[in-house]
Amino acid sequence: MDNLSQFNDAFFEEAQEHLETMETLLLDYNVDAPDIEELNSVFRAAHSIKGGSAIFGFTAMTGLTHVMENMLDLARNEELELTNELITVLLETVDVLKDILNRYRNDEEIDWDTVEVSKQRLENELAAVASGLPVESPNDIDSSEASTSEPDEEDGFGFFEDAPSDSDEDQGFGFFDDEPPVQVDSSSNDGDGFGFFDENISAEASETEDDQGFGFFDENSEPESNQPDEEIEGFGFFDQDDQPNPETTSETVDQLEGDSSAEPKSAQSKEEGYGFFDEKMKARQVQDKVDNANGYGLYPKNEGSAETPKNELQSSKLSTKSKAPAKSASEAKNTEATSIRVETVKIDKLVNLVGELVITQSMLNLIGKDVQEEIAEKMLGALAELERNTREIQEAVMSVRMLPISFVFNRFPRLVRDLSVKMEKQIELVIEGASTEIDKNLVEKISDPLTHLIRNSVDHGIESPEIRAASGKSEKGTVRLSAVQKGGEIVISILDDGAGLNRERIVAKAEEKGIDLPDPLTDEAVWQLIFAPGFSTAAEVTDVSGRGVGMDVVRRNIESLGGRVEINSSQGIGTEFVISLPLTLAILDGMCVQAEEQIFVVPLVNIVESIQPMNDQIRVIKGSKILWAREEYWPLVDIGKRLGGRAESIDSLDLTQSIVVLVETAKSRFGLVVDTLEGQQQVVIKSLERHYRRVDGVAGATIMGDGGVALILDVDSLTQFISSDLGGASYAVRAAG
Amino acid sequence: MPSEQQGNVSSMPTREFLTFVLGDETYALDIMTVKEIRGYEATTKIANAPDFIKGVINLRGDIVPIIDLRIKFGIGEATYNEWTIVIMLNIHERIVGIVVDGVSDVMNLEEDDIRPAPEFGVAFDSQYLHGLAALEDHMVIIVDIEALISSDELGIFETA
Repeated sequence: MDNLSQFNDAFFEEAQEHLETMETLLLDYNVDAPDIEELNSVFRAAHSIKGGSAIFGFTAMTGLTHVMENMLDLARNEELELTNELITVLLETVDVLKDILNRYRNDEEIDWDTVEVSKQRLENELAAVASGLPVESPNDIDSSEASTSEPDEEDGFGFFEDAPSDSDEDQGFGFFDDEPPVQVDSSSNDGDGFGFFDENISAEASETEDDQGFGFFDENSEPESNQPDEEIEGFGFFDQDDQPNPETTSETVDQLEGDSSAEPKSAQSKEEGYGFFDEKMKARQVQDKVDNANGYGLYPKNEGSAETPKNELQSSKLSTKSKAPAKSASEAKNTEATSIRVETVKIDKLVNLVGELVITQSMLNLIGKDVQEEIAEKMLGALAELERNTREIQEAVMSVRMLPISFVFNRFPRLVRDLSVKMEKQIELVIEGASTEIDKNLVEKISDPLTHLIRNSVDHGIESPEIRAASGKSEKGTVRLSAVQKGGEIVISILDDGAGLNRERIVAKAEEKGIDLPDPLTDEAVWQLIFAPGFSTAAEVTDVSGRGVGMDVVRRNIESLGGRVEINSSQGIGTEFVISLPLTLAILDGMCVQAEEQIFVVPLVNIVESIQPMNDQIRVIKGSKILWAREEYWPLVDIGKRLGGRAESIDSLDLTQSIVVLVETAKSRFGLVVDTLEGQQQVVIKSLERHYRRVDGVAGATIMGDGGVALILDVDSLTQFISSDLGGASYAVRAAG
Repeated sequence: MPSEQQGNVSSMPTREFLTFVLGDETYALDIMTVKEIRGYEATTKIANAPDFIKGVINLRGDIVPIIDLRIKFGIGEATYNEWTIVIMLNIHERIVGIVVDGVSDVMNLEEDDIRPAPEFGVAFDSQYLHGLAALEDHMVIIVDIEALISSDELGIFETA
């Protein structure tokens, strides 16, 4: 088994992905308008897991996925209607599978009871359905599937059969990978899973190719007894769906056999062809013959055509062939995102190296300008090319670390669905801003706190349908999960339209727990009390939440990420948790502006408009200029003076020569006075605090294309300059209103 | 080169110091704090920072402050040309660049060679001085660079 252990990890990864695919698809499944294509995808996922687990001997998974597959197969053949209850059962099965997978992965004991219970449950459901269908026993439903009467053996081959239908599968297993041309075609060619065989076949007449093919097996050969009928079938098997017509098939078989007789070890090696696959199931090798039968059984099964007798090579091949185009067409739609795992350290290093590359490139640019005579033109052309390439590399590298927050959000529909079923509430989860990009590190760390908060909203926030109806709300509660990037922060909000926090109860509870009450006791201060350790006002502790261990952990986790949690709540209307997270290495869309010869970056999200003021737009209040635009007065912050080091204030300069960037934050609206606009750009936020310290009005710094540093403005904290510019805080407050 | 002097077997631990010039005086700092030495380049000014903080530069992806000790301590003239040197220091995991008039040498000193610093006559407050050492015919002022850079007086780092 040793030579297989290296594939175990690949299997775990893939199985995990398949399970997640299944979960997502099942969640999206619309009972009223079933999408057969989706069901096919779920089925394929289940089938892949079944095949893979059988090969690697993870029998707990095999049995369970097998039953699951049966149900899905009936469903996709429209012999069974998937109800919401059945979806729930399937989802729970997915959970059990995940658990099994983890246990296998961690070398833990398998909880066979759970597996059996889960299996039994599925079988019962199936039996209930089957009773309405002709001649099917609950345990062996598949009279319609020739192959499944020998589930285990079929599985082994099922896996390989499955490979072409799913390019991920190919990647997981080294031996498929070794055939690059095969992989390229994998979506269109049914036989590609059999990489090496394919090569033989596509080369057809080429003897050398054939030899290679055999060579491959030879390497793996062990002395084993040869069973002639298997041998022939073996080749027939591999040939079957790759041959355009029967003649070629037999030709190739002949050819291969000819070759094999020329090779001393060939008999063994052919056996080895099987042996190789069979190794995974060594214990069952006795059943080799059955294997073959099942091997054939597979094609018809997955192609949806009926049972194929053991030795009917041609017919099975033809049926396969005829179905192949349809299948590949549907597979083209199912292209899955492929990904690899890379250590973040490597990416960080890459990011820094690219930074250096950019600087070197800009140095070259400067030198290039001094080049004289005939090579100058060529040089400049090449440098322009280099500049463009460097910029593209930089952009690409910067984006590598960022992941859409949907990576976290995607697990919540399931959570909310399960909870609402459990709590008998009707809850709709609305997700917004799932494409907001967030640093990979944050993705992993924000997941737990969010889970807690969403549970909380569902459990404590949203009322039961009766209460909601009584208080005049719609019976269906809404939890709104949104993410947005605001300046240097990601703001994640969890908003429910439930009962809101109960101020009196929280205060009473805090007193009871002996928690010091803040003074003054504002609403905000009261809400913060729920983050105290051990605090819970839930009338009863449910298994969802209410034990009071959650919220303090939530706050601690978020603060450890340099973020903060705020709560807005109003009785009877709802509660909102707002998590603000800093972007340590986030990409920011910014507008580059120039003031006093220096470049500053204004976060695009803050910008309302940029205008060149006319004389009649400028008013003076208390000696300070303000701007009339968009039907309101905008106080001004003079960047040149405040951050650029210019001595005189804009109040003594001609404002019409400047550009005013109108910005807004959650708290206020004002204008930034700058000299020119330089253009829009994506920049990477670098921390100033890493080697220096916080600077008022500055959110961070970024490295520009020329290697220089530009400061990123923190529009929120620039508001402090409004009041001083206007010689009084009162105006800022009014402006904020 | 430091290795030349290591032939002298000594019972005392020797430390290596990088000597640099500010105005007319020669100073030295513990070489273990030196990350690299580079030419002065234009900085990005930081708002509302004291004048001795020249601004920040991009040091291979890190945003690093540059301070001019000549301005801070009023030694020599703060001119910037192609010979102006910045010593990049690595102090408490932070990188800071200091502008000096020149870097002269690396010297090996034993603890015995270092004499206590005088209370006066040096631009630096004595709390940032490690001591004095003789180098050929003149004195080298050994700076406790870690204490200096992380001091509140410079205010580069936020007080923890």
